[in-house]
Amino acid sequence: MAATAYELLAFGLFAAVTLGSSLGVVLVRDVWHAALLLGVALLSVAVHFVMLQAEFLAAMQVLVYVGGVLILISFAVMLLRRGEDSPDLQTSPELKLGSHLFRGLGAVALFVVLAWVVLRAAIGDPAGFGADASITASIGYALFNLPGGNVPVEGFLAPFEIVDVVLVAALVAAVMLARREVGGSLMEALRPDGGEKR
Amino acid sequence: MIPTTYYVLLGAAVFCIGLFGILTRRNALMFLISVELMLNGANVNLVAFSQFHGNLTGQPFGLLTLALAAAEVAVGIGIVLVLARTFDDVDVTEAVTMRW
Repeated sequence: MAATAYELLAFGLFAAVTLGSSLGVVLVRDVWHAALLLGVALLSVAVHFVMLQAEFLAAMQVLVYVGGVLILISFAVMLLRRGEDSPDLQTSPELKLGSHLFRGLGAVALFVVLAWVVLRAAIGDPAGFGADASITASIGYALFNLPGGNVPVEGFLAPFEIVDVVLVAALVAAVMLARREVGGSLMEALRPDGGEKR
Repeated sequence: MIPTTYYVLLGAAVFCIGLFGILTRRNALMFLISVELMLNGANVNLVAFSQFHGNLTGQPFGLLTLALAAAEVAVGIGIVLVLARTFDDVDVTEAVTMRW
């Protein structure tokens, strides 16, 4: 099944948005602007997911990434930027001459190699999912190893449970990192004075 | 349907842009943001090949990647905040000693 002109147009448009905002993320000077551009990049990736028949994943991308991860990052940017003595958040990309340039060239070289391999691989036309495929329901059945989906898929119960444990561990770790030790006793990060330094 | 090659190229490009960010920036927060870009590039590949084979396995995989990325950011932000508190800077080249 060949791609129609409209599909190609939509793909080209959103691929340009994705690549442009991704480049902006790594090239802008201000971390806050980088965080906002990351939001644009993540939203356009969600659009690509919709075009790839992954509507549920697109919704999760918007909820988890744009709603969760991006809020966390903006939270950190705002916490770290307070007053005159704030740490320098405006480190520009090191694109001056010297060894820094070679480090960036490593990523460019990797892309050239990847693109060469992909273009030589001659990947055929995608098979796609049929019109009657209930994708979201099948994902739900697959996550619990249940029969009932009408799309071929493997069981994901064990990874699901492992991610469960990992999320709890991450939560506990985040709380532990937020504690600070003052005068030999552990002090919570959440205090009435907001944990300001005295 | 869009040829899968285009999506694989897009995923590779986003991944390499994220790698570029990690290699050229020194800000710890920019590291986290760039890692998010790389994870997204990988996710595009997973979903594209899921559609290519007409097999759904890639999509739950992408969902798990999403959950791990969220966990990674939660811990990463905590580490960046501790870094800023201990060294008064988020420059990763400044933090060269392990202080308890």
